[in-house]
Amino acid sequence: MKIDGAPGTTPALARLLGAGQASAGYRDGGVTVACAQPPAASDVARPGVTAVLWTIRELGGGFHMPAMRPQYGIDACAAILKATNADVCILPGLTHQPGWMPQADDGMIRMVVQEAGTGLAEARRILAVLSAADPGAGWQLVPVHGADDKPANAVNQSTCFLYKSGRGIAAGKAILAATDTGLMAVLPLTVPDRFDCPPQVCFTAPLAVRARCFYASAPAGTAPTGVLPPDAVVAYSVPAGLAGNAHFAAFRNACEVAYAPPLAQGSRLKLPYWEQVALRDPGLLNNFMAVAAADVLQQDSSMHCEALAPGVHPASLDEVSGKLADAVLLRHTSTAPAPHLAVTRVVDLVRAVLDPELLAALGASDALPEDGCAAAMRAQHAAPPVADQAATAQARARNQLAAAILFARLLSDHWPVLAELRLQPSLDRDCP
Amino acid sequence: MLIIRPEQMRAFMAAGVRALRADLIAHGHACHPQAAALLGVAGLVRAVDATIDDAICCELDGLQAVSRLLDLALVFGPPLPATMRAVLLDPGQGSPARRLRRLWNGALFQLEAQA
Repeated sequence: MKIDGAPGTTPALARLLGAGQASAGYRDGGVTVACAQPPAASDVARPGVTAVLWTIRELGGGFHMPAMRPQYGIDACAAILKATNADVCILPGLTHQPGWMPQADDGMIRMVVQEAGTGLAEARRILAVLSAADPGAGWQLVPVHGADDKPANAVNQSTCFLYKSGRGIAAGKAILAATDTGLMAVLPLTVPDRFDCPPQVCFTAPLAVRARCFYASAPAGTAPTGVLPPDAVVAYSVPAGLAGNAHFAAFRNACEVAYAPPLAQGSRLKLPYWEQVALRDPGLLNNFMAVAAADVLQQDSSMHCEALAPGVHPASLDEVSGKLADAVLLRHTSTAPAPHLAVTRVVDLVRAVLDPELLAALGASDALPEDGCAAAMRAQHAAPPVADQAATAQARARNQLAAAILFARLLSDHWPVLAELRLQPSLDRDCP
Repeated sequence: MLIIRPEQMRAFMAAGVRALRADLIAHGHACHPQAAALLGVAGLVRAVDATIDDAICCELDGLQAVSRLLDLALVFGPPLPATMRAVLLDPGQGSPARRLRRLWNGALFQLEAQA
């Protein structure tokens, strides 16, 4: 996904980054520069711990999503997570909806508000599908509980973690840590020696992905149960995007994360063109989405008028655009050797839901692990009809992509971000 | 038993930092050629000497740490802005190395926000 208005750089930033890279190779004690050492062969053979951050849109229900998704949606999420081959999944933004439950009360039926961790229930459904599809992996789910041992939530959202126990990774109890910018869910992991990773590592993410909190004070049941560990992989996700986000700046300072250049790929799909127009000018247009949500050609012919700019729709995978809204960062404040976190890429949900035979026609030049992994689930979705009025291959491509984007947005407008944690190659080895 | 007082440790550390002067000048020339050209040889040496004094004052040692301090001084100064020096001298912000790390990352966040 390309980024609309990709973040730029300044000469000063480039200079400071370049100088930082140069000084990272300096050996303390007076010797000028240590030679750049390739990692030892044994380290290359050992894999790092791969983590995926995925804010699944309103998992557990919300304004746009039902509390319980259709099974093909859950299957698609599980298939995509399996295709990432990650060892740890960080799932923030689980919604936590209070529900009305009937209770017998001395011959009467009384409706009482009952906390319902609907997002956690949906995460358990994903876990069940993952476990069935990948039985050897030993997938486990770790929820986060508050001091009262109830599922923790902030602004009716929560976070949970999945990890593969089949590869020897063991998890401790997830804790809640307070920072200046809100509560953080922390998962401590013990990693076996077969991984090129510190033996004890923590993964953490905010309990709520929304920056704004409309509560005057924090709701009950969210008392912290621990403190932020000195070293941790810190995940962050925000719908508004990272560029110029004051909350993201405060979050990075509060968590004392190391600077990492922003990803070159976007991680949150932007709205389709006519949906943007309908939202921007509600009096100008009727909402066409119920009629032909995926037929951009029909939308162009029906909705366009001379007062509006013509519709702009991606005709190839390279033109699918959005903004950067997720980050995986490293906090290292201890005196232990610093591990190395490489944010590798954003998992392409559109490619995941497209039929594999369409990929080449839509401009995919290389193969990705997620290609077509959720295409079968998309086939089960009752997609809105698309009139076969496309005269040209490019027009057909626009409609095919629009249909895939529509289904991808049904799964989540945030795309998963993959990162790998490794031990930093040591500079103490002798130069050749 | 040999007892080394903190004052003696600081003196040892200061001598170690002063020994990095040539390396720091080379670092300045290599990583900040435009700033070095603008400052001239004498100006760069003055900036390095001021950085060494700052490092000793903030109890920073080691070529990597002092180089980063010089980088900050050459990008945001020279000399190092007073607000940055205040962070380095604030004991409430943790150890000297941690203060420098905070300052370094904060500077990068600030420059990224301006991009």
